[in-house]
Amino acid sequence: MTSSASNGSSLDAFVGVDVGGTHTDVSVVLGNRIERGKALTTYDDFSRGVLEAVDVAAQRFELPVEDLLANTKLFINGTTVVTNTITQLRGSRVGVLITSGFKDAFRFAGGPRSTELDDHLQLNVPDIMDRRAIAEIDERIDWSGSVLVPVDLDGVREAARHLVEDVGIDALAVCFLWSLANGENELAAEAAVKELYPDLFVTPSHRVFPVAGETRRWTTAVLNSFVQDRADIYLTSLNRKLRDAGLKGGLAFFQGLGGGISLEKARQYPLGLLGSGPAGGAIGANELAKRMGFKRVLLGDMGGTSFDTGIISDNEIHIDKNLQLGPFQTGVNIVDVVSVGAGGGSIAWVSERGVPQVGPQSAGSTPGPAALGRGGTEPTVTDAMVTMGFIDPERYLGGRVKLEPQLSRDVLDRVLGARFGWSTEESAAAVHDLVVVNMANAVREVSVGKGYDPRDFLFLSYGGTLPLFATQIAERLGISTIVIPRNSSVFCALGLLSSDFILRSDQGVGWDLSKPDGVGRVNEIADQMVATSHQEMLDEGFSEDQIEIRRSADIRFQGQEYELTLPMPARALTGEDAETLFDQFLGLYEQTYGEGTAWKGVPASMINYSVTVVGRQPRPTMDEVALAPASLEDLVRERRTVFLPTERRSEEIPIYDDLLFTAGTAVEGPAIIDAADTTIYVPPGTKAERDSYMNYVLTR
Amino acid sequence: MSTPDYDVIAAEVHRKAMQNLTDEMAITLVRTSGSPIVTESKDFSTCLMDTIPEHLGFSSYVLFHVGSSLIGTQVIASLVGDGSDLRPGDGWIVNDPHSAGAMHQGDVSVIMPTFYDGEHIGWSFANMHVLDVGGVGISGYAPGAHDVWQEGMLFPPVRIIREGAIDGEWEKYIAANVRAPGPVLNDIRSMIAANNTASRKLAEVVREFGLERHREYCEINKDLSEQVLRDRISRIPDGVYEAVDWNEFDGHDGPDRLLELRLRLEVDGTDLRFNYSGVPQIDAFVNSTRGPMFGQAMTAMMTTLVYGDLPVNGGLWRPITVELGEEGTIVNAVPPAPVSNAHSEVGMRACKLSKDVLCQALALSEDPVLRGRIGGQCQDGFPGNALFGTNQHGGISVVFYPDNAIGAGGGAQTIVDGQDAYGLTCTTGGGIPDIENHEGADPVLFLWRRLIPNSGGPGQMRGGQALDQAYAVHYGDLMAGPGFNACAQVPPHGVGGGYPANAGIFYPVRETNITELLAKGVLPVRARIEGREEPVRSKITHLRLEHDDVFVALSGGGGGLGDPLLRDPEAVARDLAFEYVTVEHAASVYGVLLAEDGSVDAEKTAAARAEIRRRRIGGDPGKELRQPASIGVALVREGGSWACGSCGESLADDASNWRAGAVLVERPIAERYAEMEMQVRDRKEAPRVMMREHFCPGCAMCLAVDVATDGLDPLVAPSLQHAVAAAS
Repeated sequence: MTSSASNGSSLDAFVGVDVGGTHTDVSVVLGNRIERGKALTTYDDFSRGVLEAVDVAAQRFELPVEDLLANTKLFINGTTVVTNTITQLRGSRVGVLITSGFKDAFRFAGGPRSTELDDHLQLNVPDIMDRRAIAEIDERIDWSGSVLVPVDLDGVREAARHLVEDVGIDALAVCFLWSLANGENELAAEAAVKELYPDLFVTPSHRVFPVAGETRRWTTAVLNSFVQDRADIYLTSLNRKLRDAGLKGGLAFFQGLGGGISLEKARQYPLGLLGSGPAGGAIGANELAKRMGFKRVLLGDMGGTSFDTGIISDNEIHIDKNLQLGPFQTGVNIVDVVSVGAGGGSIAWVSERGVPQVGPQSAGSTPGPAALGRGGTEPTVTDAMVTMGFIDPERYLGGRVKLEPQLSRDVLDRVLGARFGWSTEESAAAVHDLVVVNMANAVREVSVGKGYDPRDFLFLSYGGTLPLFATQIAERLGISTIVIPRNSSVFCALGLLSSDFILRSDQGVGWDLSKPDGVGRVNEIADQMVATSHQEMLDEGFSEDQIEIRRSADIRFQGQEYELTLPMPARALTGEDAETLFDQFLGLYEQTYGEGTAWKGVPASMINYSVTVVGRQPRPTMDEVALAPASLEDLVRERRTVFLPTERRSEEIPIYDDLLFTAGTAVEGPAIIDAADTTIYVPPGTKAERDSYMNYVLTR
Repeated sequence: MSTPDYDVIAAEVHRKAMQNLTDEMAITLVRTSGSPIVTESKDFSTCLMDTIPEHLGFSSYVLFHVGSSLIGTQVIASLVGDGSDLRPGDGWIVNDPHSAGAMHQGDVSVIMPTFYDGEHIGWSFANMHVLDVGGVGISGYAPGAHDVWQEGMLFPPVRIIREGAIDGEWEKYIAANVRAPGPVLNDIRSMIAANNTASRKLAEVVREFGLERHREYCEINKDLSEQVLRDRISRIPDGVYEAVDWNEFDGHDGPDRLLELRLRLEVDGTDLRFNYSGVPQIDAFVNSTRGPMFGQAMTAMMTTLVYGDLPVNGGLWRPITVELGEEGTIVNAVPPAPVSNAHSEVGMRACKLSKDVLCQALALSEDPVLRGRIGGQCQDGFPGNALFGTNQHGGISVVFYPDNAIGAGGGAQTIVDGQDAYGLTCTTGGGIPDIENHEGADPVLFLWRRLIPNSGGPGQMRGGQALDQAYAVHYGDLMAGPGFNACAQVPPHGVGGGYPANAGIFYPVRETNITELLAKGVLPVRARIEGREEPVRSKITHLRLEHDDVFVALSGGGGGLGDPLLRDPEAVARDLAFEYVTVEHAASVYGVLLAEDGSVDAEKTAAARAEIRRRRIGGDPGKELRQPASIGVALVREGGSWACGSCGESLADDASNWRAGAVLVERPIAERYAEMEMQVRDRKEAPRVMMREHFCPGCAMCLAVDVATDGLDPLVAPSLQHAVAAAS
């Protein structure tokens, strides 16, 4: 595959950027070719790092960066700016206008105590804003949406002046009770503030999350205002620099929900950019699964410090409604990914009970695993894998870093071997087993914890480290098929580059299904939501045939707290639908929670109506490759003695070369397939085959 | 160190599998139940036991169920005997505190055997607070009952479940006896579903490990937890530690009683023996029985000593003995004693006593980690009600709001101020439901929900702050049912010279002008509400809230840690800026004064603190007030004497009570609280509740603030020499 620059330049380019904590990664698809660029993330001006990384990729195409940007059809950007603003609590100085009597809602936070027994772990919810920046306003809406007390606008103006002039806030949230049922008091307050301070960023709570439950709605509004300043600086500078550099096509920002939004939308609702990193991988996994014809996928990504896992059912990525972000309840919908501290750098240690443990502490990149020889004194997962012979010390990270296996052996012997009377290899195998169990438990949490049986799923494993463990994890969960994409870096980029524009809105409706005549209000709300988001998508430049509208509703038994989501028809609901919906709900309920669990004789209510509008993006194509099985002898790069943790014995096994491993080729374990940026372990009893998309499919 | 002779990795993997299993039981319960008591307040528990029975895993939401699960299962195991008629899918329902370890009748358990290949291998347990159990009370709270039979349905272990489902005849019986038959039966079905999950998943785990290994690893993991706990106990000095508390009862129109109960903890090597005693049982729902006493003693032990790498299982019980003395007392009640609030009346006092004696003992440990585990008490009682009435949707509302229980402040810790809205000691993971949830379902209009100024117990580390809320019955004509409050007169203690915190109180305001105000478009805030504030007793058999009556309830705060004069003035300035404390409170309790710009006025603060110390001991202190070597450890033992942790002043020889050498200032607590702008309910009848402040004669540091009834002997100091004698 050697396409020349001149051929490429006439093609459309797709650029995906992931601005991470350390590195800014760029992937560019041009024709059938993908290239990457990498640069250090530049915190003083993120756009500089982005452009540097794009430039690296452009060079690989032998194109001037201006030409690449001029040919770019879509430039999509994922960022940790918003996530970091919250986790580091370094955002805007937010002020709040709140219904009189309820200023401590953020401190109560729905009950701050965790399930930990240890009283030293019971901490207050951190103040996003100072209590002095919360002003109480006389106003009141009731449960039915009736205005009990109109908003005191003089009070609003006085409070706004005080907050801006004396307290020094630079963003505001308006948090009134029952604004989901009637937003007029919040809007009137916003208008009054805007008259005084037209440039002040204001988030009325019902605009970002019009759903019942004030803690979540208000926290969402406050966080939106909290992140807006940093997000805006980022969005604005990136847009300007890219346009100056010649970007002609669309610029989109990737949301944690798993789709893009435009610059303007991102500015209004920067909180939507939360958690966009893990979402990219999930979108990519789903794209791949669709291509391969799989509907149910558990996905896993293992890096240096953590293991992320999520679930896809019927090619729908599981969306975590109402993200709990540390101590904060939010209404943000996000691709559901569970993260645990299990990575290559995770440290093995002995707990107070005298039991070996792995993680969640990580050696990070400094000092890193002992084998790096940078002063690491604690054994890590990487040290264990080096010791057992899975990682070739001469070829680590493509041979750029030379490892010292004896250092790994020394720390394993000191920390585990001496204590438990184990050989070095046995210590290494123990570390391997524990990290596998920790990852398997996380996968169990996203599957069993949500009512799914993992045995019905395939396990899609990516990230540089996971392919060493993927089959063993699958075995613990009874999963029989494991897929390892052709090249995980390309795969993640594919996710970002395959994403559509998504606008999602949720609104509380409160329809008692035992009272069919209440349907009118639902239709009113639904029509309004559909019309608004449809128009917004048209305004983004999408044509009718690119726009898809999905409707759903959350239903629950009256008196319950957990809702189940049903798809809704693309038409107005009628009174007759009430009974059908109730029956569908019963079916789904028993499917989810088990036969006989449905509440007998209790009516159900439709709590929220949700509209997701998707604007279809063009996406890069990937060609299939003809199957051409290679002779196994030709593939063997070497034979190496490896300690097999699953068998607890050493064996000389073949190491196959990924570059020679053609589509259609199949091998039986035990074996290792060595690629530039990953190593795949095929345990005994497992078969690995390369498919027409060049993915490895492992079956056991 | 010897190397283990078993597969440590496999044993740890097995332990995680057991914990996953109890967590999956909890997931099943939460998802299938839907009762807001479960989904929001997290008032439930699940666990797994072996055949002994000992715990293999415990899902911690309400901690005291370590007691009810153990005793309930023990009772069933003895009923079953050799198990010849035991079948898979059998299940017992249990809610009797007298015969089967239940916490109170409202907490209903379902206990089922687990099987593998036809062999009985253990038990699974699920418990939740159901919406109602019938009787004169609502939701299982019956302050008006004079005997246990008035309190509602009683289930000693009854096998109403066969083949994994509740018997149809029993369903009819239960439905006929409760106010909310639909939800109550659903609750029971959810608990069965949780147990069925346990049964199915356990078989998978046992299949993976093999039955023999399964049993071996269960034993190993219990042993490992036991060893860690014993190791921690071994670092607590042997000795006898005592504490006293009172249960308040003013029901049945009789005298307003303070029912005394005591705890004597013996620390002996690696064993902890809790010996409770109390006054004779009474004809009201406060009495306690084995389940609540065991569970609450363990609750305080676990939040104090279970940290880091110490999984909860049967191993934690092995070093612990709980003795309740003779039958017929409030701590060891027998029928016909009513017990429908056993867990949160005498039971929660038992938890506070347990925390109290453990803190006394830990403070004397040579291990700084254990000394760091002391903390202030929390209220462990709450102003609440359980009401029943029609709502704005034409339906029935059964209301039991946990808001003021979970809204109680947490005790101050050595490393941090107490958590606001920590809840009761036993309610890990508890939640406060949103106002919009209440208003959407019930005929109520909320007027406020705020933190209470000065509610956290003063100390170098301040206690956690408490919730104050009020709602009106505005969308209905009547909500009625029992009301109950605890610890309104005897507030939670501080530790190590920290002060006690606000007590919780409640009161209705009758015939308010809310409708009138709303008609004028005016918000009914506290200052505008007019009505008749009605003084009420702490136990109300039948509270009636009519249209526009307002129910106000203020939770208690968390006790402070260490002398408040040692608190960083900047922290006090921040509390002032946030209006967490009032200016008068900051000046008189903390001795902190601010300059006009809001910064600490160092000079005035130093002068105010010096003046407070002079007043404490009636003259200029001869020694400097310093932060004790270990924060919150105000008393140390040195060279055969009790000495001040700040200045080293010798107080008394260490075989006697250190209080003899301290300067005592004793005042009625209500008077002292009025000066500090804090809240406690004054007793109108004897004995009064007194606050006894003990100061060091050398440096005037506050050594301890005792709460005691008027005329009571000085509280007992730890006695280290007598440990072995007492044990024998």
